[in-house]
Amino acid sequence: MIPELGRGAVLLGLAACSVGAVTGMWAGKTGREDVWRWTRIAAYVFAAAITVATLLMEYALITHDYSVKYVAEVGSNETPLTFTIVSLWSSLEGSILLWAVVLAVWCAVFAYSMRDKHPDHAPWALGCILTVGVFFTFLVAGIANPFERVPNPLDNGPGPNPLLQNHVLMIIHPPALYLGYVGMSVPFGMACATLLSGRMPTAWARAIRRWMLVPWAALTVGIILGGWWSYEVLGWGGYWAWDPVENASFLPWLTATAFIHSSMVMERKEHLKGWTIALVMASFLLTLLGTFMTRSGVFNSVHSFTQSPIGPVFLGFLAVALLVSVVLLAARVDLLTVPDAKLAGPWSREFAFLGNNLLFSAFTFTVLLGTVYPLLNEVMTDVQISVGEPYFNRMSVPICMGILFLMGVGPALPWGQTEPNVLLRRLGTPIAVTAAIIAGCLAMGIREPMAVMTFALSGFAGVVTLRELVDPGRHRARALGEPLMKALMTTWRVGHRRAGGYIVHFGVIIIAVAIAASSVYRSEAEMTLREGQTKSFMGYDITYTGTERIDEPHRWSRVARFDVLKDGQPLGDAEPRLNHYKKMNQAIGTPTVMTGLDEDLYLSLVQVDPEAKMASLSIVVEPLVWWLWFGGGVMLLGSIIAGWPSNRRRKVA
Amino acid sequence: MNWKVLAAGLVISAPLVAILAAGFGRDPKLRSNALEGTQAPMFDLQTLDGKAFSLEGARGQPTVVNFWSTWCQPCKIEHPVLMQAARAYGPLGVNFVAVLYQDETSKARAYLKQSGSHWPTLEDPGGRTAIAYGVAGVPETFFIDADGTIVRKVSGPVSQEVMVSTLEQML
Amino acid sequence: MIPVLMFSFLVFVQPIWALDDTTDIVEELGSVEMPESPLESPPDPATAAARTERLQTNLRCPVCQGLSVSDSPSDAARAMGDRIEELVLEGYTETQITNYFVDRYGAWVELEPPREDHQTLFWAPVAAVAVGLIGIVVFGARRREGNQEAVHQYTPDPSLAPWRARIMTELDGGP
Repeated sequence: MIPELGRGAVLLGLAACSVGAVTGMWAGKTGREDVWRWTRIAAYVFAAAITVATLLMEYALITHDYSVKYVAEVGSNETPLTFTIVSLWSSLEGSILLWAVVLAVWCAVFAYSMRDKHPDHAPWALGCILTVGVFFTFLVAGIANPFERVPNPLDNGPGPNPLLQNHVLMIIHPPALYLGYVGMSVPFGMACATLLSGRMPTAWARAIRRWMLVPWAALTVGIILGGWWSYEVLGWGGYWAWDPVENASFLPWLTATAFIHSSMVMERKEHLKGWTIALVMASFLLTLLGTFMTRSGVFNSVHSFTQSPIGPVFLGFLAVALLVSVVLLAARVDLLTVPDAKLAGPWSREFAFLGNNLLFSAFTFTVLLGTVYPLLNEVMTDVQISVGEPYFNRMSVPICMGILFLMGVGPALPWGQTEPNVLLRRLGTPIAVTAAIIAGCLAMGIREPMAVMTFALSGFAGVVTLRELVDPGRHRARALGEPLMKALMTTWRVGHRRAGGYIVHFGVIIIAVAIAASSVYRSEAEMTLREGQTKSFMGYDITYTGTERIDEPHRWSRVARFDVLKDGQPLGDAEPRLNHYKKMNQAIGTPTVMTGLDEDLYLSLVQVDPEAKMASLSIVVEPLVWWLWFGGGVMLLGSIIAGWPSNRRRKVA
Repeated sequence: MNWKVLAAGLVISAPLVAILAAGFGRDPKLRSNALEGTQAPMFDLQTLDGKAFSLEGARGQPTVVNFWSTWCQPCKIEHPVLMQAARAYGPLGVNFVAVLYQDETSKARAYLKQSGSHWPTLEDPGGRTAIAYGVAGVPETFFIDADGTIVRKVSGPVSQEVMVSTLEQML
Repeated sequence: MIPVLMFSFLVFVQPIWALDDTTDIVEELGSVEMPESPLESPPDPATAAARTERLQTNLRCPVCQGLSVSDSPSDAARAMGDRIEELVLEGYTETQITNYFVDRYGAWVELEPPREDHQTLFWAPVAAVAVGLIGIVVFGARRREGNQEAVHQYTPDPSLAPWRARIMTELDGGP
């Protein structure tokens, strides 16, 4: 029953979005109201159909209906309920269904929101987004069909990959990431609409930025959660490995961030339009590249799904999307360049934004090059090489220093041309703070150049950001005689886009400091303990107290218990474990992370010998890791504040 | 239509797509046949029963060295192929020897008791021999001819055809 | 247009020029031990630790996804890490040990790309940024020139003369 129903729902969705794609373009071209209405209805039907399909799949997973192909692949009677629900996105076909449903819902939300706005552009945009939907739904209906009926269903299945059952973060990381990835289709559709219609009114430009903010925030959260998951689960104490698929998620984030900044110039000064539109399209194209890399089997990665015929189809779609983007851009170059306008000189905020675009584009290019280079080399010379962490770290550190620097200088620069000495006066305090930080570092014995530079530039940018946040309130309080707190709240409420943006900057600065501290000052050791023995490392006293075997339906684990004292004070019990899953050869460890505000103690169990009463541990002490996740939260908070719908915007009839 | 922009866009995108397309059909797993054609690293190891085995001593006869583990599924698939080859070619003078990779000897003994084998399985303490042979996964099989040169390295389970053709070549 | 062609050239054609014949494989690989003797005497503990760490960070765990030997918690990585430590303590140099692994596993076992690829990987992005900067400066300068001319060509519109006269009176005169 479910295979047929599910497939039927998917086919209905496919029909709806195909119709909508065509009518959307038609409505855009002719401006007909009724055709626009059909497009919106098509979007709603598309969303409803795919949602039904997804719910049917979840139902099949939860009830262990092994007659459905996808359930037969990833389901298991022993998997706990939460992870069964989550197994919707643990394997290839399910993940594409997830992509389709998120896209369909975005289409519906877009259609509803645009129902009485932007009649010149919205139909084109929805038509384009629905075209993207056609591709993904076609995959779900065709090659990647999770609803295929299994001829002789078994009564149990292999269960999802054990690594995906280890931690609660598996529940939120993929949906956040998908919300981001898929959401990039919307600004892409809107950019295509701009180019197709040949007009770019300011209101539309502003709308594109608003619709980019949610995917951007979701992608930010998704990436940080990915790092957190890697840290908590994989046992090596790191959070970013420059793995091809990690890079694939980072690339669109870079271009989307550049877009958000560049579009500010576009809105205010009608400049950098070419850059801005190109960045929006690049963000979407890079998400396509990302999903291609994960699913094609061409790249060797932690995230790779198994090889499948989907790869070539994805590449084909990517090629088509690239071609369409390039053609549209080339056709409408006049729309994007302003012949008589003058970009303000080098001491202006516009110029800083241009520099920002360049820096982020260079970063994107570098990461892309490093990721694709081994493939290029192998194709040309038939020799496999690696381009690993050392290269990426070496290249990204200077670029990130540049970004931190711009975060300080940019907001200090006014719009329009200015004199260099005005700039120097505005930067007086920040520079003084920077110098103080450098002196402080050297005094405290912190000498590693990367760390000192990061801290110094973070201080620089931090002071400027704080000032920009607080100055409007202070001026208002002085001018109107208001109490400071009230003035601040008013300016933050009224100028919430600006305030939110600066809060995001704060988050980035916190993350930069955390990364510098945790990578430069990381300490590792290995120790083997007999039961009852205590050994010390970096101020921690660790005592092995015993081991226990725990049996669960889907795995058995060996847990080793340790008492941990920090500087003489009890910190708690650590219980790292080694999990043995059915059908997996080697044990998969669950490390214990004891988080503190100043540093994390990371314990990973290497080996336990219950008869000999010995346990081997790997220990890592990393400073300021908590601040990484906290910085991510700050970035999310800032985006929410910036993106909050403001009451002042009135609907233009 | 601005032809310069169009051309520039195509010049940047087309090579990228071409590179990605060229990646299909390639196995992304990292393997190397760097050792083919070189002298096989000599080793002296002990069998599971405690007897000594020296690769040097096998010189003058072709030898097949197979790295395997009990936790490796493809190794189990490959086992019948090895059994048949050992039965057929052992009498013709081909040495078969297996090296245990990242596994416990107790598990190996239990497995072999069940499935049987006609050749010694060697313990590799510290994995030094595996490292010397550049073993990056199991199963990996090295075909060494009478002079001690590695004629062929197969990553993954050896198929019947490859086994037979390589052994015929070596004899 | 030309800058774009230039950097596409740099990026995509250079690897062909940088083609090397396959790395020299030492014929005498015939031993589990190192093919040659250590170039140095056994180092003191501090140097040994530093060398071991550098090697373990640069050499890749053969069975993991992109992790270095020092990062990976897997058994194969541990075995390799121990072997590296052994060799360091015997006095082998970093180059000798790296070559030992590269000869047996292939170039990919080093996380750093080979020497000849360093050029492309480093200079391509630098070139891209340089091209971008040059493009911005040249483009911006050309635009500013155009605007200067426009400014110089401004002549007052005769039909506005009475208004301008009135403004001048009000500015100079009193109420």
